[in-house]
Amino acid sequence: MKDEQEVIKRLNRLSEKRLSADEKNAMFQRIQNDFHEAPSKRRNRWFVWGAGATVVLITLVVLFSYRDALIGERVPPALSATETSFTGSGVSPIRNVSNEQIFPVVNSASDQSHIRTLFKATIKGHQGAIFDQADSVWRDGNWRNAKGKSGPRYVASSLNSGKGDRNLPRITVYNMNNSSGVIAKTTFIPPRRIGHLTIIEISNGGKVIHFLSSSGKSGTFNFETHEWHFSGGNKIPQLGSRSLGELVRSSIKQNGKNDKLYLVMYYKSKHDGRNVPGVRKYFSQEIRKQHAGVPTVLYGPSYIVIARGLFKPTIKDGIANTAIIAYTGDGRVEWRYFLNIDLSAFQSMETTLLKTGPVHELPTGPKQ
Amino acid sequence: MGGFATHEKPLQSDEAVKDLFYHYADDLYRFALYSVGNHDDAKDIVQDVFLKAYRSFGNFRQEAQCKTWLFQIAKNQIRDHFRRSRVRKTAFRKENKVPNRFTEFDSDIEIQDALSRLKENFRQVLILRFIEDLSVRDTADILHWSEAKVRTTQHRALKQLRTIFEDGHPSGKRKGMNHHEG
Repeated sequence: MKDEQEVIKRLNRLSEKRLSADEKNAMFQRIQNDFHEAPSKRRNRWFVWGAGATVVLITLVVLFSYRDALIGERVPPALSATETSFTGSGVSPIRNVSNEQIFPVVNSASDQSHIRTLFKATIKGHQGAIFDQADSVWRDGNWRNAKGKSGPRYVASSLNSGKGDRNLPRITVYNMNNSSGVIAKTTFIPPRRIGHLTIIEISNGGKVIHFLSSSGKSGTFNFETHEWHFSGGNKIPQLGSRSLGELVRSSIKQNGKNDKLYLVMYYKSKHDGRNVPGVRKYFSQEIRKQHAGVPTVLYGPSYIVIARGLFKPTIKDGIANTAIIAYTGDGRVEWRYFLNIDLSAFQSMETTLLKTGPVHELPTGPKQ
Repeated sequence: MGGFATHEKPLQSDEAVKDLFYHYADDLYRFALYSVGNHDDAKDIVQDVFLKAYRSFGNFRQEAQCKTWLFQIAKNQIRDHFRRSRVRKTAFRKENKVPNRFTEFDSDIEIQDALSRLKENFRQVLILRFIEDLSVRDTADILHWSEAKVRTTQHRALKQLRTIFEDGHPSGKRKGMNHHEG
C-alpha cells in the first residue's frame, strides 16, 4: 500500500455495484404492496385487540355481577318473593335470620358491601358483637340531626348478651357515620320476655317497627312514643307426644310438597357461646359438599341457612341451635320450631328429623 | 448530490417515492450491502427503507435533502438488522481464505472482505465518503456526527484499512471477529 489515495481508489471501485432493473421493479412492487396492505393489517390488528379487550371487559363485568354467588353467599330462590316485600317500604333489611324471611336479605350489592365493612370495622368492639349476635339487623334509611350531620341508621334486635337476664330481648338503634362508627346508640327493652325478636318491617317513616318473636308473638314498637303492642298467640305447633319427624312428615303431607320446609341453623361454640370461624367454615363446606346444587346460604359468622333439603352434618363438637320452618305457598311462615340439638349425638340430621331423636324445644322464656 | 436534493413543490407520495426509489435504490443498496455484507439482507433493508419513506412521507421536511433522509433511515435499519440478527460477520467473508498481502486485494469481494473487518463506524464513514461519494457535511448529517468527527474517523478508518490491505488483518493482528458498535 503506497498511500491513502490507493485505498480510496479501490473503495471507489465498489460504487459501481448496482441492482438489476428486474430486481428494482420487483422490489418496488413489493414495497407498494406492503404499503397498501399495511393499513388493513393494522386495522385487523386493532380489531382483534379491540375484540379481545371487549371480551375481557364483559367477563369482568359478569364476574363482578355474580361475585356474591362465586364467593358463596347464594340466595335461595324460594325466598326472593319475600325479600322484595321489604324493599317497597324504603327500608333495607340487612340480616334477618330467625323469622320467615330467613336470611340475609341484603337487597343490593352496596348494602352487602356496607354491612361487611361495618362488621369488619366494629367486629372487635361492642357494636360488632351486637351485630354479630343479633337476630336481625335492618338498615333503616338515614338519620340527620339539627346540626346537619347525617349517616346510615341501623336497627337491630338481639337478646341481652351482658349481665342480667340473658333471655331479655331488646331493640337497639344505631346512628352511624359514614365510616361505620357509632355516633349514637339507643336501646329499647320490651316489658315481656318473648324470646328472640325478628324485625319484619319498619314503617311510618322509620318510627314503628314490626316484629315476630320466637314464642310466636307478633307486635310493634313505636320509637317516638316508646309503646309496645303485642298480639297473636303461640303459632308453634305443639310437639306433644309426637316426634319432630312426625311433625315434619305431617307438614309435608298437609302441604303436599316438601319444598316449603327450611332449616335454619345457628351454630355457636359450646365453650363460650361465641362463634368459631373455623368451625363455621368447616360446617359450611360440609354442607356444600353433601348438597352440591342445593341452595345454601351462609350468612354472618353464626348463621347457616339451608334451603330445600335435609342434610347430614358431621360436626364433632358444639351445639347447633336449629329452627325448622315450614312455609305456606305464598311464602308466609306456617310454623317454625326451634330445637336445641347436639349434633355430635346423631349420625345424620335426616335420621333425627324423620325417625327418632331426643330433640328439645329451645327455651324461650316463660309462657305468656 | 442527486437531483432530489431540493423539491420546489410538495411531493405526492406515490410518484415521489417511486422517483426516489429508482433514483436512490442503488446507492442505498450499496450502503446496505457493504454494511451488512449480504445481498438478500441488503435488499430487505432497501425495501424497508422505502416502505418507511412511504409511510412517513408526510412528515418529511422538504428542507431536508432526500438522499440524506433516506440514508438516515437506512442507517437505522442497518443498526436494527444487527440488533435483530446479532450477526457481526458477514456472509461473504471467507474465513478460510484471508489474503495476507495487499496485492491480493484485487477483487471487489476481497475489498468488501477488508471493509467488513473494520468497526462499523469506520466502515460506514468509508462507505458514505468514498463509495457513495457524499460530502463530509452530508456524512455528518447521516451519522449524526460533527464534521470533525467524520474527518477524524475517516482518517483512522483509511489507516486501518490500509493496514488490512498490507497485513491481512486490522492493527497487524489477525482477528476472527469485528466488533459491532450499534
